[in-house]
Amino acid sequence: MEILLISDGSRTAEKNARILSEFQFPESTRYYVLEAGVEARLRKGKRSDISGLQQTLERKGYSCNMLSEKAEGEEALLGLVHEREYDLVVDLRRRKKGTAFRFGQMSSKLANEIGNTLLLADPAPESLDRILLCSGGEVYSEATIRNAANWLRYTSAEVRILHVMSQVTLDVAHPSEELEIGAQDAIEHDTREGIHLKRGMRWLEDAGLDTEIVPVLRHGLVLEEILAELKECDYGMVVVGAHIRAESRLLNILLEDITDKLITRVRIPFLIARIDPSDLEQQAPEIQNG
Amino acid sequence: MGFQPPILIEASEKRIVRDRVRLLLIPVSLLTFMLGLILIKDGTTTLVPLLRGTLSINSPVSALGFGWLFANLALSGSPVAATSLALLDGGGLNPLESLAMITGSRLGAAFVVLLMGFIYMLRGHQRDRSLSAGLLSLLVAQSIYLPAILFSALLFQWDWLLSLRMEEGFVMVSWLERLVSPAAVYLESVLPEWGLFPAGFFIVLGSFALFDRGMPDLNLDESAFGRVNRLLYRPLASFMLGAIVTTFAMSVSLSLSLLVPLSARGYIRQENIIPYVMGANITTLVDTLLAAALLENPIALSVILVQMLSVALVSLLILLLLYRPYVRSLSSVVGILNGSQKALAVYILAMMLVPFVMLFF
Repeated sequence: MEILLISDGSRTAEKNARILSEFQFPESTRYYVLEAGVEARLRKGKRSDISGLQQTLERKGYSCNMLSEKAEGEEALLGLVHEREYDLVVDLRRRKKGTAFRFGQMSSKLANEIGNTLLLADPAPESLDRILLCSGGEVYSEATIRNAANWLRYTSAEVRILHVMSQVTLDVAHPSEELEIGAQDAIEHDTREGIHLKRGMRWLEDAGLDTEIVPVLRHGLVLEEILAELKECDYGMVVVGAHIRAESRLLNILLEDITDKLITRVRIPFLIARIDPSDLEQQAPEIQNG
Repeated sequence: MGFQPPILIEASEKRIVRDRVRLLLIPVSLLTFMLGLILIKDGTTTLVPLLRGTLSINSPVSALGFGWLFANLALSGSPVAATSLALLDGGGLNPLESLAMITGSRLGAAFVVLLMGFIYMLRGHQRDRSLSAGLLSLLVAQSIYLPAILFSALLFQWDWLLSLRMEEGFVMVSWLERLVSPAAVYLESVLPEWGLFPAGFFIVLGSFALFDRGMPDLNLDESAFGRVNRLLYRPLASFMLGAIVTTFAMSVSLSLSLLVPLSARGYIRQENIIPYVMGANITTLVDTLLAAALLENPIALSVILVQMLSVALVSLLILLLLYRPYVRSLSSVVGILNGSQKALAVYILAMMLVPFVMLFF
């Protein structure tokens, strides 16, 4: 397994590296360190020293390679990240807060356009005891759970799979009972959400997770309910699906991306599970019929 | 091609003939619409003392209440909106009052959908939650159309908006007028003067029923519009889709019902339905635009264009700047009203009383 760590040489990045010890990755895992935005930091008179991170990683016994190339600017960073097929990219840098009045994407270009699964480590928790896995209940979301399961199996944290139902009935004659029930009832009654949650739990178990897996079904607006769940319980990390990447600026403005909004609003590490569209095509019939 | 039993061929032929006959209803509905408008316009002279005096419709607020009540009673908004323009054309209302009456007609139309659902619910068919879509639809209409009146009042300050002229030689209108003139003359000779307005209104009401019957069945199914479902997840895209679909469906409730096949269970996300209704609220005024064109009255045309522009402006401002707080607020109100049948009943009662109270302003 190959993992790329992105650091700007700041103490924050150094501190955020502690999130790696919350994952029991195989010993054979190779770590690569890429410096990004160093010159920009130095120009602002800020500290940028990668040696601290290097020493921390070596102390933990990680096999670590410092990449000679450095990235200045998000475009260059994205280019360097995509030069090699890393299994996971971990951004250790401090995350910038988004502005509410900016249209289109608010989080970083890296978070929006990266083709790999990305872990935004800032701010790394003291310990990773509980993880929130957000799921939308669609084919894309089910593929996301499968991808996430591959990474969550390396942690010993409790995983809660959250699905938010924000639906209302379009027609007064349609039954609305399913819009009121909780996760356990939904699972027992085999509602669409219940089946989805049950399958998600099974995939996590099949991937080798031996920690507690709890299904959660909330009702209300999606973003607001995820924020409420994060406020009510003490989560150490959030797992979300990959964004649909915009091909044009106009499309970007048209997109309403829950992941993007969450990243810019919540100060908690995020694992953005990417799915390969070709994998999705192969999985789709099974998922859709399942 | 496989063998088709004669009975099936006969049935499909019958369907084709029926569809063609149905299509003929559209020009017929256009003619009756024109006839109704002429009668309302000509009956306005006798109606002015009643409107201005007895009913005291002499301010934008009272005109709004009048349009709202009228739509509640007619169980439809479009005929009332068209009537408002005919009243403007006949000198019964000024431009701002006419615009306010159209606004009232939209609020009434949205309310009727909720009221029907509420009655259905009281008869034990469903639970409060089934009304959510109707409630959201009404709340969107109330929160967009009311501030839009202020925008319209500002836009009316620009004189050029009231001096818009339709292109000369609007051939279809004169043709239609010529075709329905004999019927209008005949009805005006047999009906008492006070009867022209109600007769005209019922003919307009009937023309909408004919138009609905004549419209081909619009279906948005997943096979034909596979991407529609995903488009709905994006507020601006959902807004545009609502506007486009309603241009053809003309009614917000019909436009919403077209979304039912897209969801296996007849559910839609609140975040998706709100921008859709916002878009639909603009183009649902297309039939009123047609009424303005048929009346060949440039001020009526300006009124409806200003109305559409104001609604679009308010909607876009909300979508681009206040979308999340807006959706949150609407969702909270729906939650409160759905939470207690008493609260819902009080809200419905208030919505029936408010237009009454408005008549006195």
